[in-house]
Amino acid sequence: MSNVIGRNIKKARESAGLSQERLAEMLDVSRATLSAVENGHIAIDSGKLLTAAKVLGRPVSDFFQEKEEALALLYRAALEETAPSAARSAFERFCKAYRELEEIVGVADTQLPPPDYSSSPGVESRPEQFAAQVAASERQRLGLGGRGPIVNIFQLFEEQGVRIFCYPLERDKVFGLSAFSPKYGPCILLNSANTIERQIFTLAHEYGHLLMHRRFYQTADPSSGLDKEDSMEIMANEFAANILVPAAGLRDVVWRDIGEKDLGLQDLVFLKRYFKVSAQVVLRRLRDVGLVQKQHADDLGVELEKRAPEKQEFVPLNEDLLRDWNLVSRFKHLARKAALEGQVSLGKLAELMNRNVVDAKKLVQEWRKELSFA
Amino acid sequence: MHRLAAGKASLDSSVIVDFYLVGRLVLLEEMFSGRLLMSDFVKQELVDARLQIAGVETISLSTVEEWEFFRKLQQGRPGLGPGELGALCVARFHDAALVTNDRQARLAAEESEISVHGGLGVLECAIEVGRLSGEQAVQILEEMISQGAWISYELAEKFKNKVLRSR
Repeated sequence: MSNVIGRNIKKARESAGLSQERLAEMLDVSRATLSAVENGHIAIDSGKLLTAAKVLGRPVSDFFQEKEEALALLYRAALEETAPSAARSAFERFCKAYRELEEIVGVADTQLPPPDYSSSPGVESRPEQFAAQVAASERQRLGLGGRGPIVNIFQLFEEQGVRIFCYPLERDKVFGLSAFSPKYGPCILLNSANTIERQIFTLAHEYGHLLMHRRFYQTADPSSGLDKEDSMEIMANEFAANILVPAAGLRDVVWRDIGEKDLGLQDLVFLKRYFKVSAQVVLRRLRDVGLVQKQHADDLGVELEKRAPEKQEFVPLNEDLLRDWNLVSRFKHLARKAALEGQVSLGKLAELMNRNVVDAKKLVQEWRKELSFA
Repeated sequence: MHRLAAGKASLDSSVIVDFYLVGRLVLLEEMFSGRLLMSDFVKQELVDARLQIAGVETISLSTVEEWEFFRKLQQGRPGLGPGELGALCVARFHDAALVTNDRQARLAAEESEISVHGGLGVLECAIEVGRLSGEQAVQILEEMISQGAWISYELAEKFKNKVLRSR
């Protein structure tokens, strides 16, 4: 065990960019002692280990892991914005907790990951058409057909084995990020400080990355987000727009419910509610599909900007989608099942749910009450 | 004499939280005064929950033997957290009884032949040493159950019958 803990301390220290001297100082031990601990020559005192966990910003159980698989991350962010390390740590912690819960409950590796298109020739030769094609193909594979709206994209993607983590990021220009590893599978972090419309688009966008760019998930610690103009970003946007608002479905609705007269703001509201996307996404799709002329689309865009304050959505969707998904969220279901069946201790549950022991206890009591009133 | 009436006790968070939620933490402090051991992993869980318990001796794991036992427990029962694992190690290496209301921790203790008791044991002992009346103990038990203490219905009923019959 000393070897395992020592190796993990060393890895965490290096990933935090701390020298051995600096960490030794923080732990109030000599550099030689820390070196002996890291090399597994002596056992660490658990009090020092707790201090190390705090200093290195990791849960203490990270240091007990015999073999840890790094998550490879790919960012989606506005230009020159990156997700803060606290968010990345929280995300990694969630992905690990999710996997641990699956193993404890006995449902690990029961879901196939979504298909990997990253080696298809079209990825590089005709990226935008390829992204639209992948979106159409994925809609068919998921049984969505070529026309209708996606009822609950959170639930749908989670059913495809995607671990979805909502986390409030102070920098609201970081929309989300995704990760992939053979052990953890596809994982997506959404900035819950963004509007629900933004979160939906980000989820579809990151899912697009996971389908089309899987082989690019290679680094655990990227230094910056992808450029908005990067072709992978353009492809992921194209994928998201097409899977959320399929061209055939949009034409159907416009012909059936709106008619040939110029579209107005009230039509945008109807369409955004129908497809569960932002007004900007509807407008973009109307223009792309040729259902509005460029000048008219630009005028509508100006009107939208006038009516929606910065960072807010024009006629926002309600958050029923999130509420409904939370009721069937797989992570929460696994945590509830493990706790109510006594498969995890209180301390373990608190760690997995990232809560303190009193809050974890209260949560379990809520779950038990649900059952007794059912 | 009840096993918890003398000797050291290593508590985990589950039993502390159960007594805390019914406002009876002081009962634990008084019952185990001067012989209450706590793993620093448990202490950290309590600090994170802003919960304090007086008169405890905090124990760190520091030897290879302790860490190896920690690992063996963890591998056998991945549903245990650092706090319960630490409490089990403290009980094992400091000749203390484990006091827990947690099913996984209790099973691990039994597998490792560590003396283990729950909140019910604490209440039984409190009656035996004259710290609580039977009625008071039953009231605390019912409050604890209503706050979510993981105590089986059968054991609780058995306890109530025994305590109230012997009045």
